[in-house]
Amino acid sequence: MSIFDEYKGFWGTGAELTERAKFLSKSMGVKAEKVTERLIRYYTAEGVLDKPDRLGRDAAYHFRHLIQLLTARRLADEGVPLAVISDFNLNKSTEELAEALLKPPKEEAVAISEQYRGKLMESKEKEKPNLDSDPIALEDVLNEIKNIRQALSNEAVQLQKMKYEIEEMLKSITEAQYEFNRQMENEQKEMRSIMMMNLERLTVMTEHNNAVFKDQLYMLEKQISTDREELMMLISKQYEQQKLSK
Amino acid sequence: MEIIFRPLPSRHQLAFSPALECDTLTVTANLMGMSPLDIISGKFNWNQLRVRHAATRANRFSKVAVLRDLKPKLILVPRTNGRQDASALMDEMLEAAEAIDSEVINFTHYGFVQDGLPRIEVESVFKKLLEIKTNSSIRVVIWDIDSRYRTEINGIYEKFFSKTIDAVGALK
Repeated sequence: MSIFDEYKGFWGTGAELTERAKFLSKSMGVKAEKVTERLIRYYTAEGVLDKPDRLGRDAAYHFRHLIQLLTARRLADEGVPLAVISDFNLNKSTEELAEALLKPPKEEAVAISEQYRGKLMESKEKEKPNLDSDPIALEDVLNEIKNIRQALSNEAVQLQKMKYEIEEMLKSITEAQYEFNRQMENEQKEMRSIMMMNLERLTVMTEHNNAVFKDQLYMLEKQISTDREELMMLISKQYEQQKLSK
Repeated sequence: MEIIFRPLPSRHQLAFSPALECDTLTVTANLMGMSPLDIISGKFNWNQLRVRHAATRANRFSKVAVLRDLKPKLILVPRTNGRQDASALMDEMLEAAEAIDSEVINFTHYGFVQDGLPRIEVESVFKKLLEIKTNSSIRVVIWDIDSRYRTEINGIYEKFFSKTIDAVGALK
């Protein structure tokens, strides 16, 4: 048993539709004061509601129109654009719309917005409004502003995410650099110690060599000095002999 | 525009079935049980309450009611007393039919006639059908006639179209 059951046989004029919509809107979380005959005519012209029946030359509405009107008001209150509402209203069966109306408004609006986001972007790109020729209803402007605000906040969230990711990357890069520097320092230390060891070994080897060759050098020097003395003696002897022979 | 007559055997309202070829039905807003409206809405499983509401309003305001989302589309014409010219209602009905892009109309109003054929009314209907322009969306009118009044309708038709229903070729 749904609250809509007693309205399923409804068929009446715009005024009757308004009256019933206002009555039902109180339990649907819709602002009742916004539902007027003028709004119904506007929604019909915009294709948010199905084409109405006729009574003579006047428009007549039935249960489906009532459900579509409540859906449209509720989604518009949640900031869903009219194009999306129109698409949703015209492509869903009356039962589906009535079922959706029984859900919490926020949940439904978010689900519909998600579902139609892609379509909306496409349609926005296709239909650039001509502001000079088309008078725009205040309601549409407000919806548009709400929509833009939502899109901007989404973008801000995305940017925040990107910033966080970049910060994370920078942190990891800094860590990697610190690690690299530390390794380099360690390697430098090792190299330095190896070089020091080699230098020490070289010094020891040089000292050892010096010690080994010092005696031999002394011997050689002594030999050279004795040889020189002998040579001097020989030269002096020869000189004396020459002197004697003269 | 073409008019095809469909003679219905009288006193067999339960066996009444609308023409299958039509995209629009024009029915008298008669809320009585076993009326063509009652039988048709039961046959197509329409929302009876909605149809009844529409019929009530059509009668109350003496205006033609159109239920465009039904299949076939439904035009409800308010009840008449049968003693007056129905030109205004015919105008309204034809305008409504064109507004919903009807091409083949099943005109069920004279399928079950009680208390004699409303001659003035039928004459005014024929007169209006003669006025339908060639650029109208209406291509065919399938006219249900009570077989008891076939001769009378034949006479009226001859008066306006200079030929009899039989010459046109009524459905049998």
